[in-house]
Amino acid sequence: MTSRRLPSGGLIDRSKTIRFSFDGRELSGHPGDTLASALLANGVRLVGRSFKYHRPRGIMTAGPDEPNALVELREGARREPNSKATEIELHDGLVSRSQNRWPSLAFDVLALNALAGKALSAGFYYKTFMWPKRFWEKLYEPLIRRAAGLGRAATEADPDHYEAMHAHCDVLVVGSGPAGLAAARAAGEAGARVILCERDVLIGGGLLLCPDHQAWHADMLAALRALPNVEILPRTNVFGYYDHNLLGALEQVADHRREPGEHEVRQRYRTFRARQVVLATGASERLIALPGNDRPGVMMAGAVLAYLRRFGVAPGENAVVFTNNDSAYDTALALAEAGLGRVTLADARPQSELAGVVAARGVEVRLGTEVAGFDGKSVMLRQRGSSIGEPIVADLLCLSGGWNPNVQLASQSGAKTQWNAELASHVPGEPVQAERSAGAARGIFGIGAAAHDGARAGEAAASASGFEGKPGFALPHIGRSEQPLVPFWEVKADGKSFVDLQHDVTTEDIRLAHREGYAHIEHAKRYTTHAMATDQGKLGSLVGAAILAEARGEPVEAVGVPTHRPYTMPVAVGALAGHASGAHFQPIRRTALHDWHLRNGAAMQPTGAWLRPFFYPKPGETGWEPIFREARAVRSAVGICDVSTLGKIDVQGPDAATFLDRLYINNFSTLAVGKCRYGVMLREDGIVFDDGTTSRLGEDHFVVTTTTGNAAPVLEHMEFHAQTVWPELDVQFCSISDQWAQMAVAGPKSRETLAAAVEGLELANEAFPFMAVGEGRIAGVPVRLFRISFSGELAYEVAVPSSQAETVWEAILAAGKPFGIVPYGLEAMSLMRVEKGHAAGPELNGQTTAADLGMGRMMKKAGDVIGRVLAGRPGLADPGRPRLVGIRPVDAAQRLRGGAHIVGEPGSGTSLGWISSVTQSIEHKCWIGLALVENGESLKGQRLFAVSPLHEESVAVTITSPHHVDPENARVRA
Amino acid sequence: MSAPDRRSRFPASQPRQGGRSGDAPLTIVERPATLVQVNARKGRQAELVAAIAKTLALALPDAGRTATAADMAALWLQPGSWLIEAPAGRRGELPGTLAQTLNGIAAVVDQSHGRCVIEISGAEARAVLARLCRLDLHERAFAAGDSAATLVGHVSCLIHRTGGEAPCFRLVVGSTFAEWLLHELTAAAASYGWRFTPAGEAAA
Repeated sequence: MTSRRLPSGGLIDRSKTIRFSFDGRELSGHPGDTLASALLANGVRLVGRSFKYHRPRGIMTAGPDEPNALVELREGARREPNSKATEIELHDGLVSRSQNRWPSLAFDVLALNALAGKALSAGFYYKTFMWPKRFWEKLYEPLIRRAAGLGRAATEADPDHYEAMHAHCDVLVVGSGPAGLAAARAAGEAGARVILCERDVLIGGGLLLCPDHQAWHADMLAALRALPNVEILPRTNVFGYYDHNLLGALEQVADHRREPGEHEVRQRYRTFRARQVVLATGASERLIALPGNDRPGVMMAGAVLAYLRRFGVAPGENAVVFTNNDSAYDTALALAEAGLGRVTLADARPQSELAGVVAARGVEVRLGTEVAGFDGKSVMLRQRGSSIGEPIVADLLCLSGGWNPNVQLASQSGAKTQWNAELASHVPGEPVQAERSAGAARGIFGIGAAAHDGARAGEAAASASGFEGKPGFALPHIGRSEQPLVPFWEVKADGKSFVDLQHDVTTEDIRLAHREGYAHIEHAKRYTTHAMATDQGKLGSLVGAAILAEARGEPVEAVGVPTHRPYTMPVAVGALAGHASGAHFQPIRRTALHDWHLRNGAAMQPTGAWLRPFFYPKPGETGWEPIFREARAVRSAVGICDVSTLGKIDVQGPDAATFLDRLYINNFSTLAVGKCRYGVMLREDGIVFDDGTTSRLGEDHFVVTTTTGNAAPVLEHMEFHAQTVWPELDVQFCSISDQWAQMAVAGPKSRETLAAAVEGLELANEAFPFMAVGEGRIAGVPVRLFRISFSGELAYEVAVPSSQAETVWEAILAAGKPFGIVPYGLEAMSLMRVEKGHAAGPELNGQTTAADLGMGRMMKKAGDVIGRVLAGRPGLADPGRPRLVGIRPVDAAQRLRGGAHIVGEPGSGTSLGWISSVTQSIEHKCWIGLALVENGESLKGQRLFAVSPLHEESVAVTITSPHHVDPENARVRA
Repeated sequence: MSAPDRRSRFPASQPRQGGRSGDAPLTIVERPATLVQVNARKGRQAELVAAIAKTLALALPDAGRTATAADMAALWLQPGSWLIEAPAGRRGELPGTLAQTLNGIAAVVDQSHGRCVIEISGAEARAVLARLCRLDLHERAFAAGDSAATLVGHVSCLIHRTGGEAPCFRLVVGSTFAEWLLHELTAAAASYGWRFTPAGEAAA
């Protein structure tokens, strides 16, 4: 294997060496190399096997259109498959491996597929693996996956970090070739905020391959860097163009290093909101279909020019350049200059003015000639129309079938593409969004012409965003115009001619799809998988369309091309997730007592955005033990619980009471100042929306509490009605959920506890009865007290300005110490609310009415209420609807399960309802539950069955009142 | 008996720092403040504006703006509604004073404990916010005194820019989200480095 590095030239640093490995071989390259250029420089021709036939493949391009050189990079947790070697900046210690070969690249067992090629034609998978059905999972699928297996992803968690970043600008320029540079400078000098994105590490695009324009290139770069309103983003590929001029991009921040630095992200997902967009995305060279056009040694002519001029690599010894246009003449000249043994240029056109120029520099020119085949060692040339071939020894075949403007982003923006007969390709049509294409991206080729076009586009874009100014900088002269190309898609000769190398789609596959009825381009695409690989068919999509057109007997433009969609290049999902993973996945809300809970050993539980204490286990406690201990403390003495997560809304104004009367099914205008009342709110459709207590602090001042989950929806509900339904009401309200921390102090000893802590408020039963509201001080902190109970015991809630929550909490704990006060968590609270028979989330499930929950009598007799009308619909008013009841097992040793169905007899197929909540009762020493059962009221005392087919269980149960504890409600009034 | 006025929403009262040690770290400071929300009664907005101008010498600003005078500021919240920011020392007094002054003109609600004010400054403040917020905060688009209600780090914030040359922004966030927001800010600032100073405790 010989070095193909040229002694001089290119944008690489020969004074430094970079070590890397490919398939375990230690190789070296230079700074400025890509993995592909370094492999070529090392004489590596074979880099992978193809997807379906496992044909040997080599590097074909120098950019994102690469179909073949897909490699697996790095090792361990950073192992990543399917990277294009042409897009990887070489770095020290890079470990790379070829893919899709087994057991080795040189000897591949599955290459036998190629011999069975006929059987693997278009639609093969649909036709072949359909039966017998049971073979699919066990045999066919693993086999296909094994054979296809494009590399292996890491199985460990990604150790790297990613982030998302959003930017706004007046003018976004995509692409930094002559058109992009001129557009950015024109817009920037006019004063617009400009962002210039370049996919490549180097800014310059086509200028990087034009030594003649080096001075202008350098001058443009210096001028742009000096403009403070211009931001240049290299290594940033714009992958999608969305509505309202929103564009998405991926910045490869640290992919050119072995691993990112400390505090450095690996990739950055960028979004841009631009007033105007200039698409200077250049053009991609297209393939010519001919037998052997996938052999190692076949390369695109433009790519060969890049390897020669940018990377100082000659990718072969003897070359044939096959073209239908002028651009490949530069490649032929550069090959001759690089000192190749023999350079032959085959031009499909019968005449060329450039023939003499290149012939004088040692290139052998064959006009009216086509390439009829390539086997890796020799190229078969023949006169067009002739069947007699002449083999020429060549290990490098350079192809140029013309250039396709990169219209993907313009097309994604909504602009239709138009057929340009001169280019035999599509160009962007009328813009739909605020965008324009410039330079090669709209078919204007040549450095000078593209630069002029870019400057005009930049000026127009700046002007459209409010910045006027004529470009005041020099532009390269516009060169001679090119000779017209002849559209040329396929050389018909024996052998496989590929239109999609990555998915192994041949010209024959396209014709087969047509014969089998898939004549529409979108159907043919899916049937053959043409242009569906990671290169998105940049090389051969149009060639395939041309072959389909021929089969249909129509011109190419009549067939069209498949729709362009994001992404223009593959983007890892991890990059899109940005930093929103792990602990940053979703917001976490912490009550003011959060850190006290952590310090005191609480087991925290996510509930919505909140983290709440589940329970506070003591050493040695397992299972339900801490829950029972906490609940018993409340039932027998006193406990304290953080209920700060309840929604709290301050409602004021002369019409505050009227407002609440219309929102709740029960009245608040009749509530006395200094009292609170439980209320139920319906949705417009008559279903229960939310419940909670509302306190009257003053004649026109209320505090509403909502359930934790509905804090925001209830506020929205209020805003909607205040703004749109009853704008005449004078009412003001706002959330005070975060202003006040709230704690429940519950248990028979709660009064004594609080009496020891509260100053300025008499707590005796007569002075401060059930449902009283008052103000006082605890530890010097002003607090609000509410005598309400969720547990069913004598209980209070204490609201405290949240910054002072810990002080007050500690003071209550100290005051309750003589009574054995304990903090209790969500689980004990839930246990006691099921015992008490309070409806909560599982019962307020968006399907139940107030009557279903036994609260039908709360509905006021007169006056309109949100939901009243629709609650009267026959279906909702049906007395037979499932009603809230209590449920207990007949045999106290048996357990109940939430979700179990209630049936009349075991084995009955008729469900009467379901168990909504269960717990282990500390009062009854057995499982108890709440259930919603049809005609539940009339079934009380009856024996039914709770069945859970999932657990193959059937438990005899008794229907009871939902109030398992203190049904007379005496304790809360004690 | 009186407790020290704990003003910080953050458990540790010591300043912290992290991220890369660079020349332009993000400075994050928790600003203890008295915050009072005033919501005009129906049809009484002009009286509210006049009353605030008279009592606090503050001109209640238009939509999307803030107004400052001496050590106070007013932020527009929604039609007829503003947040008044005053030094933390007035927590005990200002809400009550305003409730009296504005009786019948506006609903007065203390939010001193309900909102947390986090100030971020430094050369890269905009770059950090660009990772957490989708607004255009460029000086041409978001001048000193501009304010907006938006999402920062996925949570609702009121953001406004203070005067002065160096980029300096204040975020008013629900206090139960304060620690989350700090977590997001420090992560977004990791590549520049950051320093955080929580609010100190005031004497009892």
